[in-house]
Amino acid sequence: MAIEKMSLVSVAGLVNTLDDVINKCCEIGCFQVETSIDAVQDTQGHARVLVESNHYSVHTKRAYNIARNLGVDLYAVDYSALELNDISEYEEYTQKIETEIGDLADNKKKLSDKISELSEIKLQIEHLVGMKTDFSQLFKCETIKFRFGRIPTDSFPKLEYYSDQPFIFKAFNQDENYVWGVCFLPKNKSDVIDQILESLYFERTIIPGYLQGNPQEALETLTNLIDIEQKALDDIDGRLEDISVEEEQKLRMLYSKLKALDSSFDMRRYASVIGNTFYIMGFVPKRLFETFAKGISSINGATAAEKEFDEMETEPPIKLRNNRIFRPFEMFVNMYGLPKYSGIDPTPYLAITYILLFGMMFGDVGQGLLISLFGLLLTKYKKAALGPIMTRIGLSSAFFGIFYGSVFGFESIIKPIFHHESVYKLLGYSEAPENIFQVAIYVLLIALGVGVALILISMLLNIKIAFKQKRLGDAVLGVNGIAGFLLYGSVIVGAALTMGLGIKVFNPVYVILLILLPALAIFLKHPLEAKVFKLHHDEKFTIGSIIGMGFLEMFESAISYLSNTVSFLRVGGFVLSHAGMMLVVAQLSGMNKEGATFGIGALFAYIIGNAIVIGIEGFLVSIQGLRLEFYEIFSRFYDGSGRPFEPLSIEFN
Amino acid sequence: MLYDLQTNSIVAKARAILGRCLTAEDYKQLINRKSVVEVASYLKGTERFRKALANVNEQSMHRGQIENLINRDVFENYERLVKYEPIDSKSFYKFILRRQEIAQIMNAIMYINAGQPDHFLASFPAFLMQHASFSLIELAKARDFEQLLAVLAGTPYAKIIEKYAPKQNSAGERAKINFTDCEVALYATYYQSLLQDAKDQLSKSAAQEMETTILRAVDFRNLITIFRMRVTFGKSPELIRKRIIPLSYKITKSQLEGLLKQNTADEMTTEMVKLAYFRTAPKLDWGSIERSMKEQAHSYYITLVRMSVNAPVVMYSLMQLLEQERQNVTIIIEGIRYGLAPAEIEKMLIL
Repeated sequence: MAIEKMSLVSVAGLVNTLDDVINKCCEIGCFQVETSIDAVQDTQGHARVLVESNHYSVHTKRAYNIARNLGVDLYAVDYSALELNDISEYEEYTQKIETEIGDLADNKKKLSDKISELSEIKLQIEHLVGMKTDFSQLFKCETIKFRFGRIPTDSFPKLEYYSDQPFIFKAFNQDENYVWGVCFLPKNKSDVIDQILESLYFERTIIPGYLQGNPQEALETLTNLIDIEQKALDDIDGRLEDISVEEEQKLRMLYSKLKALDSSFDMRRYASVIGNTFYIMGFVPKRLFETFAKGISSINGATAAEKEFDEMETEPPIKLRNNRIFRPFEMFVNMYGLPKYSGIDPTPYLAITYILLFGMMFGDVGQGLLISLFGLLLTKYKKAALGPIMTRIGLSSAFFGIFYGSVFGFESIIKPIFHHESVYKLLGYSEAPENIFQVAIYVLLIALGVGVALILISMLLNIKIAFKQKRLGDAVLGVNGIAGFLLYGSVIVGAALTMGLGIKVFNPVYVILLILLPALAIFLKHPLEAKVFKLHHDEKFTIGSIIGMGFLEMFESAISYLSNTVSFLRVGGFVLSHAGMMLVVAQLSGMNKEGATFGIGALFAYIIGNAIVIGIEGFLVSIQGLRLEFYEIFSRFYDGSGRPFEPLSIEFN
Repeated sequence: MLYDLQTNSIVAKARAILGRCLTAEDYKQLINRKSVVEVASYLKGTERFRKALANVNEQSMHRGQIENLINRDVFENYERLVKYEPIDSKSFYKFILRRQEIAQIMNAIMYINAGQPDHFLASFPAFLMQHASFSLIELAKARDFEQLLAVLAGTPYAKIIEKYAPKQNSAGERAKINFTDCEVALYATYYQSLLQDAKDQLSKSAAQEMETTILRAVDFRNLITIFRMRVTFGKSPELIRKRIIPLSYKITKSQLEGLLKQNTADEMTTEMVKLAYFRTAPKLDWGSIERSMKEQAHSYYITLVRMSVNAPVVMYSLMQLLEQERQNVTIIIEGIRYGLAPAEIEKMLIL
């Protein structure tokens, strides 16, 4: 449950085995190349980088294009059975397939274009079906011309302006933007009238000479023509399909092999070469180093050796390693940003607090188990990353539901915790409160208490990290350091004891030692850091700058203490809102009335009500929980500036 | 209660429309298009114009069509908003219709003066035919001032411009219609009646806010007129006085006279910087004054749409913004047609 320890590894070998080594690295899948580290720093600059033209790229692209034309779905497969072994054999095979499908593809394109053209004409003719006249009759006219087409609806009324011109526009159809029709015009005036039509944005449709009959009949002709072309197209598709079935496995193997060769050839640029030897530096998880070194040494002359490195200077990549319970929550940590190598993995802390907060805010046995079940199904059938998280938070919801005594909103099945005599008497009630709203103040106080505890734990984590990273100023004098912890903790504890139990703790010693002194330490953090911890050597401090910085620091910390703490009230708020929503469901179903019986209507209302509550409130609570994690908790100890561990691999996308 | 609901509906809908308007990123994409077809295609993909251009084939689309469709969309947005108000009882809400009518009258005069009255036909938006208080087809047939007046007979516009009938010269030829006199007279009456309608028909706070909004617009319009006529064309103060709208908000009479006395761009700029509108503005120069005014007006309208609680003000401001958006798209289309560099087109846009 931590950040994987990394080993800086130098891989060396003979240049002629470089491709094999790279392939092995990809195969083992735990080696991240580190280009920022000079692999051969001790050789006084005699190293060279391999700059070569990648001859596999062209063949990879050709194989990809063939597969695309044949509709073959490409993915990585084992290509050990492929009988093509060198460039000339790849070339011969791809050439053969290209020739075979080339003519078919050309014909397919021609047919597709033709079908598009005919479909466009058909679309236009469909708007002319109101016309009963035979096209061929119109084409025979000697003194009159015809213009079929459409005019924008905006221009159509303007035709009235030309009522004195010798043309008629007969509209057949209209939609929001166009009016379809035919314009009759005298041959000797066609130039002028064409200009008029053009000025009104008339778009002409050319009617092919082979169309006979009226528009309805022409449509039938067009439909038949499209069918014929479509059939020819289907035939070609069938032949392509046959080739596809025949070749798909071989194509996948060829593509996988070429892609591997192509990618590994590209990775050759990572190597530094001296003479006949190459060197590549990179990081390998420490626990996998032995396996990695063994794999590399299986290649003739290749070795992998661990190198020492300074963690602060060379920031290694981050790979989180958590147990099965916490692992799904790594997704949230990735969303925020990975930790620094010298930091801590916040995943377990996030997982525990998120599960706790969700359960508190959305406590219901039935709904929780349902969410859990839904999470299981999502995990099993959809492999969704949220599935395992839902499973865990659902169980937490069910657990807290036992305390709230809520099962799908029914509060009579399990006795709520505040109905236990010892509990309600402790809270100062003489008889059991009727519902959770009567103990709302305690719910909110508990929420605040949880918030304070989480903030204090986050500060402790920050102190630990700061000491680990040798940021002594932050660890001791920071807002989230020892000074901040004492200040915040003593104010909260003092207030709780004074107001809650009547124990007056704010005496001069308490105030001076636990409140004023830490506050002064935060106020004077920067000059004290310079004096005590020898930091900020370049900074010049004046009285004004000390007061200014100190005041801002104090103001910011006071605001953040207050807002972060108050923010946790929402936890209590959601407890009450959940109870409120379920009360509404009970009212709508009529089950809150005296002597009500549980009929079909009530069942229906409860199912719909529960579905809505799970959908809306479950979603809200999960977001609010994450918000509390990221804003109120992470902001106190976590910066998320680490870089992810990305081992060498062959990308097939 | 009902009034409040209507008001809320208009304000909410107006803000939703503003939220869909073209963004700076959209404009950036548009100015980098290579043809009008590409512009149409891009606009068709935006949330703002998806519906307006849904059924058109952008491949065969003419620029005039795009402009007409966008113009129609502006008017349709107005109609969508105005249906929440009893428009018949409040002539104030017909402001956009009145402005469109004035714009078409001015277009018709422009084409008559240019000797190309036929061109007016293609330019006017047909959707206006069913709303306008005069026949646009008949207006397109007008060949001179008398015919124009005859078409406008019975409307307030005829009375406003009849005194600007062009005089005949000694040879009996008619002079051209005085475009600017007609324009100033029509818009002066437009703004005055708008103010009066706001005062008579709107609530006190809406009327006050509306008055401020309208008078600011008039101030900017007058400043642009003064700047152009005095500095660019060197016209006399007497002539300029006749060409400005006799209303003002933050420009005092003495400030106005002070501006009219300036001769050069530098002098005018120095004098303008003293006005309340430019006191906090970054350094003004010859080329940026007009742009600065338009940008100020633009951001003022955006603020009103976002912040005002008066539905008439929100609606009026939104329509100004949509009009500006239409002008921006027209500028982009023209710029691309004439092969201007994207940076040049960008300078002309008001965002």
